[in-house]
Amino acid sequence: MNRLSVKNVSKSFPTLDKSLNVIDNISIDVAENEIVGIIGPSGCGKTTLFNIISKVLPYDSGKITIDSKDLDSKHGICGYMFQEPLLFPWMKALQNIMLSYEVKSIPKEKAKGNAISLLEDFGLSQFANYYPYQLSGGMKQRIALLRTVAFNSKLLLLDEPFGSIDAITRLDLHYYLLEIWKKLNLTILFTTHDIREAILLADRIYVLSKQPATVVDIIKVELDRPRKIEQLTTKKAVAIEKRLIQSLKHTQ
Amino acid sequence: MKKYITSVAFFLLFVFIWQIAVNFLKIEKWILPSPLQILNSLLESKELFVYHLLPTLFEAFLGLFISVILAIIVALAMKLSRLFYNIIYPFLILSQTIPFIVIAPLLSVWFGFGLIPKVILIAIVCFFPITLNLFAGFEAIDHSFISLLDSMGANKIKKIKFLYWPSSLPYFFSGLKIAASYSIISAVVSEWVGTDRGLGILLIRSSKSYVTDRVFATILVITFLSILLVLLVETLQYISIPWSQNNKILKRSKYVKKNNISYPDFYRNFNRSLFL
Ligand SMILES: Nc1ncnc2c1ncn2[C@@H]1O[C@H](COP(=O)(O)OP(=O)(O)OP(=O)(O)O)[C@@H](O)[C@H]1O
Ligand SMILES: [Mg+2]
Repeated sequence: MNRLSVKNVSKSFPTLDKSLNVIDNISIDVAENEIVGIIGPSGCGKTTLFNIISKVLPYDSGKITIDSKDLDSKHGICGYMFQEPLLFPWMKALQNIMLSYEVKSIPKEKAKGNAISLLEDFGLSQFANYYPYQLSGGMKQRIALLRTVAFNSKLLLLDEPFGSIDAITRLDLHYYLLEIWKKLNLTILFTTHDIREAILLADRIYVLSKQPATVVDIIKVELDRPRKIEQLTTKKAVAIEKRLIQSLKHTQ
Repeated sequence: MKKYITSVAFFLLFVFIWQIAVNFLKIEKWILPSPLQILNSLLESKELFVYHLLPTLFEAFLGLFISVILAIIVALAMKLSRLFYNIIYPFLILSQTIPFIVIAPLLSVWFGFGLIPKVILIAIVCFFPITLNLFAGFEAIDHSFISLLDSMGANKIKKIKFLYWPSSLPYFFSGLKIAASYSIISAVVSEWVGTDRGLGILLIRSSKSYVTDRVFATILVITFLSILLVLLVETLQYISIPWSQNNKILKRSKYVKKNNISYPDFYRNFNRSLFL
């Protein structure tokens, strides 16, 4: 249950005078167990695309399927990590993670046990009883990531998951994400503004143009797994980086 | 605390001048008793005040309780059903301009002189501020959170439990504070219409028989009860909203922590109750 196909999807927002075409005929495929990255200029429509896939927003035309089943017939199907952490201010970190279990009516005790062990895996147990306002930006993002993982879906949509996290912690999180991806057989679609992050994580990278978003380039990242940061300086990786930069220039 | 020193000092000065003026001008007790006489009357007939205070307090609590339940039901129904909202909301707004206390005589025509008409009046008066505030809270919810729960496929009940209710709690409590300050006054007014026990009837009887110092003392007790109730709600608020960044219990000194006092809020709401 984790193959995603987006076919010829378009979306425009009504504005005061005209309609704003944000996504124009985009097709993106994510195979089972694949990690796909999306890079594109700010405001091009990445978040909008994720909102559409997760059924938060309707779309105008095209077809989206998950495992060949129409998206329209499904609900709460992917684990979606929003660009902002969106932690509920009235819940402590632990309860925020428990939410993922509780919306699925998993009993409170079990939800709590699961959430605690997740926090331990991430070495964040000491923050379990912090309210969001007591957490730093990066910490909030990590809790939000845990909440998404806890949702226990095979298909994850991560919208700039590591945006406000320092370089070292970010690398730890990259490794952690790759580890659980492998362990849990996940399929991941993520966005980023960080070229090296895209190369380190992804099997393929989609480059989107500025608004309205279209696919400008699809780049395969054929680096061995498990990936290590050192691989980014190999010839292969540098070539990919160059091509990415070229494609991104075209988007301007 | 320093901010209030001048106003407290001014108040004491006022009381002092009052006392001196009454003594000096030899004003008769039934026209204007001095502060000391009022205090004396209060202490002298302690049992009397307690006897009349208990039913008033009971009515206020019961009315408030019923209004809270009704308000939660109506606010939720408005949020869940657009039709219900369209029907009810204009009336809710209109109700803001009606001083419901005037229907007290009508209620006693229909329901007699017992507990029921009084509780109904209090519940009606308290219902509106709670409902309107709670609904405003529902409307003020950050839409991103709704999107988040949508993306998780949460149903309406879960949305209420995890999002609508907790995020509206501050609004609910500001409504409840207004309602709490209304509740005692409403109880007193409803007792004017007819009862044999209660601060309202004590007030009427004392003024009819020109025991003016007791009238003042009763007013003092009523005021004190209103203040107490509002403070109680504020305490409840701080206990129920521990995540608030400006939660004074978390932030302020031990003194405030011990007393659960927040002066500005309290005065704001109390002023409203005076202008009811
Ligand atoms: N609800 C909406 N109504 C109208 N316009 C919208 C709405 N949501 C987004 N937009 C517009 O759609 C465009 C794409 O927004 P989106 O958030 O998808 O960009 P993004 O690619 O995620 O940008 P960033 O990298 O900065 O996060 C923007 O121009 C934005 O103004
Ligand atoms: Mg975005």
